[in-house]
Amino acid sequence: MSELFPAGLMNYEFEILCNCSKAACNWTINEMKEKTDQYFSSIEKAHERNSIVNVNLAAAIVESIHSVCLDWKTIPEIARPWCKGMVQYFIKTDDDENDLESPIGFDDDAGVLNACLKFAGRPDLCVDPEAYDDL
Amino acid sequence: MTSNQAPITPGTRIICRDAEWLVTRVDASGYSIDDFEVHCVGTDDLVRGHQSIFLTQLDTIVPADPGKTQLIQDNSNGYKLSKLFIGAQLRQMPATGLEPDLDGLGVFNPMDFQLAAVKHALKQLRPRLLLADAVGLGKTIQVGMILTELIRRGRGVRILILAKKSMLTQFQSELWNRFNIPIVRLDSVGIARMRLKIPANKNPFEVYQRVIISIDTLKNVGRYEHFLKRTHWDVVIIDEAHNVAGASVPEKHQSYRLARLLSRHTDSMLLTTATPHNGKKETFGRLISLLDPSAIPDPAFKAYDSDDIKNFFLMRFKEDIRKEAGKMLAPRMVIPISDTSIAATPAEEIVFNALAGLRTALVKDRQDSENSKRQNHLLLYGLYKMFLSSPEACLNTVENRMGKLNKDNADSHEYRQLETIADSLSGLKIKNTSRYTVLKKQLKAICWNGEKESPRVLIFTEYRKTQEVLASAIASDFKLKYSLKFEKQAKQVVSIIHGGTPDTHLMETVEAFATGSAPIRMLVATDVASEGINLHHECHHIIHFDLPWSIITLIQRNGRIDRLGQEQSPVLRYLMVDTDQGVFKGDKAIFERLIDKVEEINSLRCSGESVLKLYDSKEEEAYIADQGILSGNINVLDVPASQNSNGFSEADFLEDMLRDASLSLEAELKRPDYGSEDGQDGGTGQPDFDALTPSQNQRYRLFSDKEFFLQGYKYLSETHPQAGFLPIQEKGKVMILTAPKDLRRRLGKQENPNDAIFGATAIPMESWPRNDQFRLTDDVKQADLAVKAARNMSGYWSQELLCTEQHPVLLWIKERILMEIEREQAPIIISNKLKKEELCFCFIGQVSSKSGNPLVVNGHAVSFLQGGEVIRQELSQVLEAIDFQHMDNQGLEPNLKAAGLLIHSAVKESLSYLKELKKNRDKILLGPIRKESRRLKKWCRKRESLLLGLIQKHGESAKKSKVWKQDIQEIQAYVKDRENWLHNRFITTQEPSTRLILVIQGKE
Repeated sequence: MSELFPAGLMNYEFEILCNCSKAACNWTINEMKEKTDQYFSSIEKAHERNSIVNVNLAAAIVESIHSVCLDWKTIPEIARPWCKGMVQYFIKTDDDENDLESPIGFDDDAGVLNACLKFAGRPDLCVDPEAYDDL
Repeated sequence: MTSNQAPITPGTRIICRDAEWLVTRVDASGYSIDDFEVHCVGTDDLVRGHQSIFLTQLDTIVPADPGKTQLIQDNSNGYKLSKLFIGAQLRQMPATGLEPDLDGLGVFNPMDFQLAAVKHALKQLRPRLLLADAVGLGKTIQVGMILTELIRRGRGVRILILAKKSMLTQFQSELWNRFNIPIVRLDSVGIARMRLKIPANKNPFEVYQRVIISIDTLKNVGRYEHFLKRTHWDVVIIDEAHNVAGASVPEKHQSYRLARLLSRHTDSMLLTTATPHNGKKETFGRLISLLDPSAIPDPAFKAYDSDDIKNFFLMRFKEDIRKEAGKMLAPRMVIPISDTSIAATPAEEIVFNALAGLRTALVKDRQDSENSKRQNHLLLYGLYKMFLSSPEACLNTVENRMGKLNKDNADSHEYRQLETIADSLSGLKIKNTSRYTVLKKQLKAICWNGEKESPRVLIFTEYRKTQEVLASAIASDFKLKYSLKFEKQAKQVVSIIHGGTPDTHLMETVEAFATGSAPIRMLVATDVASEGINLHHECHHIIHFDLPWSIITLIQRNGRIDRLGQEQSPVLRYLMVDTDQGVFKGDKAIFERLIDKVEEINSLRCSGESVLKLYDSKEEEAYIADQGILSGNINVLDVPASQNSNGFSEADFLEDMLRDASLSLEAELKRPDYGSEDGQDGGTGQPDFDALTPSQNQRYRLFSDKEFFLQGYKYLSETHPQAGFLPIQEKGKVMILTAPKDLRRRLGKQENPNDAIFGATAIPMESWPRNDQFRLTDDVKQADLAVKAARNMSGYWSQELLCTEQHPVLLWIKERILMEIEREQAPIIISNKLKKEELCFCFIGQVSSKSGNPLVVNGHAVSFLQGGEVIRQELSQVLEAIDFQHMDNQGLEPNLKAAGLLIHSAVKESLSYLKELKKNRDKILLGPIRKESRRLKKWCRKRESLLLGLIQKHGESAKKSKVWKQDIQEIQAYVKDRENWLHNRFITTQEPSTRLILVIQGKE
């Protein structure tokens, strides 16, 4: 964790993440979990209607977010706003790739998640989007 | 049609504009994903046979509701109607698997290397391939095979082929004779004529669905751009594609702009060329980017590696396939140079002396001169080279040059030298030359005397003047009638073709040379005939009357007869004249080395271009002249012309990369699990669709093509006695059908000038059979013989074609049979192989993509057994179990009411089965779609960052930066388009559709 912010993101991803972090700075852990779960239910419904919605990758992201929430105390203070931002980024449908319209709609979410997790010292929770390509 | 309604699929019957139609194809209309173009053929009395396209956003289209199907008792003898109806339904089902199944679909003997090309094309989400095999390896056959497979999948309805003018008929007839693929030829006059017949706002490229046009006609992008931009093709094929790779400023290159425009308006694209690059990475990269703009991130197409390009091209050489080809590629023979050489006559030696004097003076002058580049190549070696062809060719040029100098400077040293040469040449005629003597000796050796029994000989010369005097000399020596007139060439024993021969006469002459019974025995050609044209069918002798100083030209020349399918050993003769003149004495060694090199390459896995790495015949000539002939360097052909200090040139790197890429792809293609679903997808990103839906690939048929043709037509003629269907005559292996009016109209025959153009199903009028009699056979050998006979008797167009399900006549019969059962009706029959009260409902169901493409097409049956159990089976399984083909109609009354009551449940069951299949399909399709989307995004980002880097480097206000900014917008739009295309093409619609086609009631 040599930097002051998550590394490896494209400029626009980083910009969206900054905005998301600002928007989510007051969230509690419960709120993070609730919002994540709520969004995941809408993803599942969308997947019922449209099979291209990558529900498997979304589930993997949700699992990582849950683990972060569970281990919140171990997350360094400096990384917490970014982790909140990462949740906000996840629940934002129309981010870099629209979550519910693009076949790789959660790839950018996974990218942001991975960058934040590495920054928070939890690379073990990173998600590889290509591992969830199939239904 | 709205998005929540089951989509309309091919085979469905619809009501639109108060008439009834059979849907033949459904396409996205391009405006919204809920809007479709529904292509139909009329089925009721009002519109029968008429072809129409309806737009769902404009018309109310009511598809048949399978739940409302009314069952009708089949009273036909032996259930003929039901059998033919099911037979036609099975033929209507598009293939959706990925494995090629070309058995019985054409007159060809597919070789493994050709099948590999088909397999690779099919495994691509969007077939885009450069076939860069060496000269004579059957690239057209591979194109035909790929087209056949795409047509089976409903992905080859609209086809555009671009070829050189001289190749149009050959390409067109090959696809018709061997694959039953009708391609209509258009030229600028044809397009103009057609526009007079169609409404002013109608796009001429939408009239005919399968067309071949010369590149030269269409490359005038400005003239046709408006129409081309509004035309979408399923497949675009560009033959001799190196001509569209673009020059140094590609944007100014008309053919490149045309190819780029077409690439954006087609799903599949095939490029063919034996010379895929000119030694520059940029040119090859540009060809690849025509296939897929997202293959190479570098906007200049210079930085790429073998992984970027390997999936887009196949490059095989004769040596790679020689073993597999066996007799189809007879080894060639070169007559020893000692037999084809002769000493110069004293009169010729005088000319050689004069030419030697000229060269010695000029070479000395060149050494003295500071600016050697100003030396005139014509004087240095051009006149010598011409004299090696004929005295007339040399004298003609000398006189022209003197004429020009006379105006400027008649007293110059050059003028005096030219005068000396002209004097030495005066009185010397080709007939008196040693070269002509050795030619006659060689003609005698092969028993050529101009009579009917003489073997066909192809003589190449570089010069028009030599061609002219040589043909006249031969004609006069052998007492043959001869005329220079273009229109006479195809009809005389000795003919000529050259760059100035008008297209029609060129094609006629080439066709005559490939026709056994034509009088032509000798074709004297300049190098216009050395690219692309097949002359091997009736000829295996080439005589190089003079020697082009270019390996590329020699290989192209020999490739006219030394190609796949040549069953006789090609015999090559290189005529040479030996001179005592010391200045030229060493040249013979260079000429012999040139011939040796050409023969060496023939047995190596490399291209002719790779020797000198100049990639241009003119440059090769200048190089051999300059560095070999004039410098006295006999090793000129052993070192590439361009290489850097490390001994490597850009061309070396490119060739190494192409070799690596090609070998790597070939190794993958040879792997037995190529394309399988275990993640080892052969680099295509493609899954094994067939693994999950096994029946998708098999062609299950009730009738052989011959049976369907005979029985289907017989049934139609019996049930429509007023339609004037004459009976089919069977003569040995051939079945002769006289086309009734309905068929003639459908195949585009215009019987009076005011007839509408039926472009969708038209066949080329050149192929129209005599007396409207279509002759079909089910014997491949017979059809092959007919193709050969056509070459002997009538030219390109075969009079007997293979009876295949793709033949337009069989397609017509299929559609007519489908119309025999009314909309929302299905026949019911009784089988004693099923238990009493057992009812089996047979369906054909389809899951389509958003753009209407079939992704799953499945024939299945839902059976209601005694005791209430419901089971599902494959359609083929059920039909085989009841021995459908041999069933008798005992005239028993089926229980229409009982069966009718179960239709709703059966349809529900069918739809639920299709939903399962849909799920499976999604399962295996989504992976590759995600991979492709990811690849596109990665390419877009990389290209974008490269362009942004350039903008930063040159400054925002730089002129070029504006172009780069525009490029960024274009690539973003391109990625969006591609994503939409992927989405619409491969994502399944929510609702599958099904059609009840037969009900079987048990009797036991």
